[in-house]
Amino acid sequence: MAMAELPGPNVEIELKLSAPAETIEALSRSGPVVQASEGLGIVKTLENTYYDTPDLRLLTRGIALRVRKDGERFVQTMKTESESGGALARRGEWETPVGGLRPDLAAIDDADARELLGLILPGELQPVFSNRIRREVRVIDGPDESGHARTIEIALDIGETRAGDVTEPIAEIELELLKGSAENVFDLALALHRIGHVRIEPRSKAERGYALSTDIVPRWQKAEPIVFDPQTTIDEALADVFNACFKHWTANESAALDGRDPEGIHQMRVGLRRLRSALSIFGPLLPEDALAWLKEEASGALGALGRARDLDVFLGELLSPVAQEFRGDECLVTLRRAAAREQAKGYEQARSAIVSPRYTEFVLRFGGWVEGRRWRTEGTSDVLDRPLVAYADKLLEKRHRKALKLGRQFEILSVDGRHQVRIALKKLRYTSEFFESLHPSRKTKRYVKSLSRLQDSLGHLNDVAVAERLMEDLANRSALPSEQAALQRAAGLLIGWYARGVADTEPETVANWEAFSVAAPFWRQ
Amino acid sequence: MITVLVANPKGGCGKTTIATNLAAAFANGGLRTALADADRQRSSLYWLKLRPSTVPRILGLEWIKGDPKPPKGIDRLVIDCPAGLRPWRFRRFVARVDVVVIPVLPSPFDERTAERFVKRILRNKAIRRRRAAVGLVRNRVRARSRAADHLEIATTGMDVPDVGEIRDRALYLEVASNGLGIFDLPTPRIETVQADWYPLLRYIETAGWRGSANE
Repeated sequence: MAMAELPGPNVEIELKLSAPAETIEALSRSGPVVQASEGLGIVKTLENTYYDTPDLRLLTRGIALRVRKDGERFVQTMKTESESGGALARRGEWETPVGGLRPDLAAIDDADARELLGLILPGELQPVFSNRIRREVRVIDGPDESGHARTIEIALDIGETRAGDVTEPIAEIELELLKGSAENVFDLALALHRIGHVRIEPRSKAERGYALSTDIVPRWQKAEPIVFDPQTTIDEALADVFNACFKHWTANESAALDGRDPEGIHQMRVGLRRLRSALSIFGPLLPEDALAWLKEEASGALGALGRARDLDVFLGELLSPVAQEFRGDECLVTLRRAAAREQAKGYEQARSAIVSPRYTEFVLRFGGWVEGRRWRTEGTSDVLDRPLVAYADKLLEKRHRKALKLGRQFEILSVDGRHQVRIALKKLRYTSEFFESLHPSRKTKRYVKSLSRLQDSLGHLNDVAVAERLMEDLANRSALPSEQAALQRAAGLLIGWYARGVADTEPETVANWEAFSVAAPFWRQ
Repeated sequence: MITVLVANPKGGCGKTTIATNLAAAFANGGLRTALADADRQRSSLYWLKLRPSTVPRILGLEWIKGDPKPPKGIDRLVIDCPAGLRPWRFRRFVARVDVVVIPVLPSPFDERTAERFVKRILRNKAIRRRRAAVGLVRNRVRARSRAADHLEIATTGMDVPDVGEIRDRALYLEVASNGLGIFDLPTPRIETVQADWYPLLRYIETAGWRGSANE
């Protein structure tokens, strides 16, 4: 689940928190839970068995099929994961009573559900994992601190997942919004987090079960496009942009923590970087204290994930081609080993940042801030309710001019000069990407394309500069003189290789600059 | 919807047997199934005419002339594609297909034809663009015959996966003459016969779903 589902009809707004069982127990007796709910909670013991084919076709299709034993009753439930963790996805749930613990597909008479399941052969469904949960349900009702009515169902789940001989504890709090605004859910979660540290658990119990019983790699996700039209106000744009960034980076958290696919940490960083870009675009319109807080937290998280990403790029994109060419050169093997060690450390750093209380605090606070549109402070409404397009065009013009100015006499610019151009282009690029949907035309596509081409050729230079610093750092850290010598030699090889590459591509870079500098700005009529 | 094309330019390799039994398997699995017949001989349509109303329904489509269009509300579409179809007509069929199933008999002549056909299929633009899956099925295989061994070697040498072996049985003719497939019969009695089809069906469900999800 993405945490900030856009509120709308038939969309569940649900936030799941996990912590050690003692913390969950303590939270279940804490003020925010006990004082606001009436009487005692309802306690149930639930046993769920999840089924799939040996080739895990249901998992591939995003379906979870379980039979739940609830007292003397058996209920079969088929659920579909909402695709891309986003709102308005085809999320379905089909529930039917069955006679026993075995699933009974004939009981599902809905044609859509049957199509999703596809053909299941006789005897093919086997139990994959099961869980046993003690669930206590309470309902929080009445006004929150600021007097808004809200109803939230709190389910406290303690138990375990079992797959064969392996078990994993479950200790979760599920907050489901029954009435009110999604910001109430975040506020309550934040209040709980401040009493006993929790983590946001984006995975369903089925996903956790599959993670335990198979070696499936968590999926990563790309950013969803943000579309504006000429009527979009600044206020709406802020909500859309922040929501999209939030969804994108949090949806990639599991894949980043898992770390087997480098795309996880990369996408999480892209989401956070988009947030930072949004802050740079809309900064002047945001309350100062909020802006400072968001900048600090976004940059902090980005920094903590940066080392792992740098090493992924270095090992995957920069070292590999050179190692291919100089196969058998020992110093490159030494470099690979040293870089892999550093990569492991980078991932360790990223993981501990993601599981830190500070990060959870940031996510929960940001969620409430976005859902409550808390950038709306006194006296700002006349600015925020204006159309976005005028603001966007002015900013595009400003950043376009700045890039052109910095890039004057591009061919003879110094390394530092080019670096300044690159940064200006980067800002121009994300500004155009945020706003291109305001001016949909071939002109826009051409402009963005010429810009991204130029940025790519300059970006390569930067990758090489990062790699140089990284290799220097690896050599300095090495305690063995022989290893140090090998690392320095390997660094020399790589620098030479890429310096040659940069010289080779210089004419292309200059041509890309020429093409960009004459591209027609799409926002001008 | 997953669209399966059963094709092989060589006649008599059991295309209709494969197509009708696949359709019966899907229909018995609770899926809304259609069987399209592109062959002038109309064998599949004839089979549908014989089909009793007591077994799961299969929608028949006559695709012998004109532009084939699949109807809405169908989960599985099986196309029985005749031998010697004109290339431009063949291209129309593969334009929407997710899985191509090529039945091959265990004989050196059939294998040569199949090999050439596989090469032609893999060059097809629509197949490549859609990333449609192509699989070979060894059909009418006699247990422990030398020809069967040979086919096993030949098929695994091709660029497409071998997705199973359907053993030769008199039962297929027997049920076909009543408009039935073997998945219309109660499972416990003939489980070993049905089990021949499991690898092929699993292949269609996995590869075909991937294809239809790409749309």
